[in-house]
Amino acid sequence: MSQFRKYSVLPGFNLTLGYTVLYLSLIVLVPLSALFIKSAGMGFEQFWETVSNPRVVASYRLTFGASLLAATINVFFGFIVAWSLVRYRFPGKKLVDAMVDLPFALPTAVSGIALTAIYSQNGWIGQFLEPLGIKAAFSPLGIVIALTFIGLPFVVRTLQPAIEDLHKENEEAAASLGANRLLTLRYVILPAVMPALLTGFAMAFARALGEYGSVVFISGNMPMKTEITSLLIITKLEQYDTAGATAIALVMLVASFVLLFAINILQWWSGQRQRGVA
Amino acid sequence: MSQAIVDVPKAANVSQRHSSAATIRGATDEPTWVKYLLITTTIGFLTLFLFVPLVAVFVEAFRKGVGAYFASFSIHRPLQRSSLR
Repeated sequence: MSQFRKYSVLPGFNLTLGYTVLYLSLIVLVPLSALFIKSAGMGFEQFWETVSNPRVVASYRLTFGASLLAATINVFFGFIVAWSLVRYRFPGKKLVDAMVDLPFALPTAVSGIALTAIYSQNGWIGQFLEPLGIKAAFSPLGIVIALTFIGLPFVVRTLQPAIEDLHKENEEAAASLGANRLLTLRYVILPAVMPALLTGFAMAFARALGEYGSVVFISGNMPMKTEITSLLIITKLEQYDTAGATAIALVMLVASFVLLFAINILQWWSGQRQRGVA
Repeated sequence: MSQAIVDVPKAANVSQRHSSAATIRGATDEPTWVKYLLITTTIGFLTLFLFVPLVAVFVEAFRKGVGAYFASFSIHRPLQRSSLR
């Protein structure tokens, strides 16, 4: 216990700790525990029946799958975007840099409608995809596009400071030891930005999981095919089945916790590896 | 002495004429084609995912003209279900 309360020159530890715990409890813990309590009132049989409904399971598969895919696409292209923005000069760079924040600024309904208008059959891009047989709007592809749109700034904004902090001396040292740029990228640059990459991935993934506004328009909401879990929860609430809604939400919450915990472990592990390389 | 000063600029000119595109590449720089590819990918990706939706919002909003845009704020206008489907 005495190790807990190490003497610190900064005053007010007790007060600030107390306030932090109170604030987090009120804002985070109490609402989340309400989920558990409401679902517990259902009884396990009914809980399992609600959650293993084929329509619900299909929505889980769609939501998690599309979010994972969108977050992966964002990590890949987000790294390229962040690298170009930090390391290169090109015309329009400042404008592009500012535009990356656009998905933050646009209300989700607006982005949903805009994307639907673009990718529907007569849309600007949809009209070229239709002869190829690719259905962008009202399909899982549309959902992935929408989720990529809203997750983009997370990855880019997380990676930019990390790439800016890269020590050029390490890259120069690698070059002096005979590495070409590809080897340097793989063994020097990527490990250094890996924590930021994982953080960006986790944030884009988490945002995509809960996304409702921009997805409901472009998905078409066909049960078993393009229904996302957020929509199912709202449908259940509209039918006054609060317990069912919280049951579905609880499964998503637990799965999200598990995934974010796993990503945290990955980040810690990757940070440990970095520590060895001063 | 003055001879040497005159000679140096000539020598520099010669080397410049030989290597105009292939300027000295630093050890921490990518090959030029990689740079251009990455920049093109960046601009292409961001155009597709950011600029096109942004422009679409404005174009669709003003498609029926500025008058119709401002009229849509009026509460007396009957609610239309715009057929996006």
